[in-house]
Amino acid sequence: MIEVRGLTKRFGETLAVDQLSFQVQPGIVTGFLGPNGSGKSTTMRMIMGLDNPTAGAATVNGKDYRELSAPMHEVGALLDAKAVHGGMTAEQHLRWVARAGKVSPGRVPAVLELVGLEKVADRRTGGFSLGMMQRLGIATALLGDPKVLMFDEPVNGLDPEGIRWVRNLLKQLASEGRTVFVSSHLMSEMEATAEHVIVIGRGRLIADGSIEALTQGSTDSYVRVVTPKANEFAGVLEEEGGRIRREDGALLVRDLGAPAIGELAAARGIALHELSPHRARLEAAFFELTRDSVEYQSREDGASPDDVAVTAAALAQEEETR
Amino acid sequence: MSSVATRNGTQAQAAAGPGFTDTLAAEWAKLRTWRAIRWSFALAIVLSIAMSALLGLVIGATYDDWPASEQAQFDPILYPMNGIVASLIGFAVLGVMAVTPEYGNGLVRLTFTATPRRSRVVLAKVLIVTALTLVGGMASAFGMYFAGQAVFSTADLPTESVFTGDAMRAVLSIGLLMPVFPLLGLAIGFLTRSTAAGITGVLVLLWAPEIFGPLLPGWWQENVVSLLPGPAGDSVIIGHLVDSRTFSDPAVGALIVAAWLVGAIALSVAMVRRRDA
Ligand SMILES: Nc1ncnc2c1ncn2[C@@H]1O[C@H](COP(=O)(O)OP(=O)(O)OP(=O)(O)O)[C@@H](O)[C@H]1O
Ligand SMILES: [Mg+2]
Repeated sequence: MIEVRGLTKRFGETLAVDQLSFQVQPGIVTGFLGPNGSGKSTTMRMIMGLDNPTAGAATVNGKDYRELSAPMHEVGALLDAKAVHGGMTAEQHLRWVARAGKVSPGRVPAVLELVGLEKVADRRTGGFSLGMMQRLGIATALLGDPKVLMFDEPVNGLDPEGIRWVRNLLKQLASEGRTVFVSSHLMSEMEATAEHVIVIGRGRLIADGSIEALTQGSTDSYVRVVTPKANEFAGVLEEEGGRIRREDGALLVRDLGAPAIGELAAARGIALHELSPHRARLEAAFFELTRDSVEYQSREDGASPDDVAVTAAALAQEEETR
Repeated sequence: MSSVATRNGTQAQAAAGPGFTDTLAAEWAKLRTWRAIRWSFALAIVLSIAMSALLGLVIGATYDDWPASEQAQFDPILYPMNGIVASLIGFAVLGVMAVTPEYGNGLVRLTFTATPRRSRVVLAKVLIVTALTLVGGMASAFGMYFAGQAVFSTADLPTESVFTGDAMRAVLSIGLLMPVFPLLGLAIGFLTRSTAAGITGVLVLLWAPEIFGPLLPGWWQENVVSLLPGPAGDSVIIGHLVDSRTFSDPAVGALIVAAWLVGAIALSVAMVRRRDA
């Protein structure tokens, strides 16, 4: 388990992390979301004992990381996939890390195979693609077979096949009872991978809950109701606590579930032509949550059109231009 | 895919934490693969010996034309040691390069997550740099000396056996003191976390007293320049052969050098532990 209490980090003028408190539980994948510069990486570095908190504390399995006697057996992290010496081969890289953490050298071929790099074990990492670097970073995190795993943007640079592979790996690691904490910009990816998400903005905690709970609160989660007696039924629903928007003659109802709406219609003898629940995409919920805490408003022109890398910044920009 | 990671060994084995020897072995496994380390090590030795041999050839070819006064000054111990310029630079660079590349590419974060006791990492690098430059320094010193004597003897110049007290003191202490600037380079590397700054820093420390020392008034040479690691080390290596206002008694010189090393390494450890990685 990872626990963060009142964690704060100031770099000169910048308050990178601001009184952050949360827990990351074992057995599930927990996503860590936030716009660019919101403090995700800084938080992870503090958990790993690399940066000193200005205030507060982060513990892993109840201990300060720097006090763990065999840290690599307890925690594995991928913080920066590019942080590898280009002149070393994949195997040489893993070997020195294994030695430093007193991990059995037999784990080196095992993790290489696990991430699918066994065929390039003897190649210098300087010639690796970003995707191969990510795999090597994941292999490094898994070396000590730790119960707690942390990945900073692990799908960065991976192709769709690679993304699916990481998703399955994360889920499997969690299903084995491990604590899996993963940051990402890929909202749709988090939606498909994480059960629980922690959202931060400008270093502050914005939301901490299951994806289910988060998306339910979004204005984009509603039940679409089509009925010939729209005006009458709208009154009924509002009385029962529903909030209503109209769209092309349909009622978009929030705060009431489809079953309750159906029951109400039946009780009043109102015919329904359509009753369809619509759950917000995490993306929409995320944007609503971080709307006020977006750090950089630049548009990501290089982003590919489909479903990939929708950052909060890009989202915000889109929303503004509408 | 069956299980992601099969547990090997019992929980008790897994819990046994790494010790200093693991850190040392890991740092060695890492540094030995770095080309900058290999190149600086090899060049420091090869170039120093080659320079001494070349200089010997030049001296041999021109000696007969020297004025008698200069011929009288010919010293078969000192002259072959001129190649030391190359080994001093090469090994000092090695010391810096044992540290700064990791800061350049962020690998140091992995180093410090694998070994959160950062002082161990510093000390492991200190030991490795000391061992490499001690061995390399000895190879350089004896290589330069033998190359010089071999060239002198073919040119019918005076030679001196390495087994005389004067020669032995100079050659051995060159080797013994060779780790001094590499270790200072290592410390400057930890403090600046930059290859360019580290190399510049250690070379300035190395050459400033040589270049600017003689321009300073006598009092400064005797009381300030003499406290720098270069002149202090030189008073051990060639204090018995050469006179200089910046030289101390050899024992004092050794103490000054030791104080620099202890101070630089202690400062590195303190800063590395305190700062964000
Ligand atoms: N070493 C540092 N020195 C100064 N400022 C820093 C440092 N590291 C991070 N920051 C600042 O702290 C803030 C948070 O940065 P951080 O990298 O943690 O954000 P992030 O959420 O990981 O962003 P991204 O999604 O772009 O990776 C930013 O404003 C950043 O500029
Ligand atoms: Mg980041």
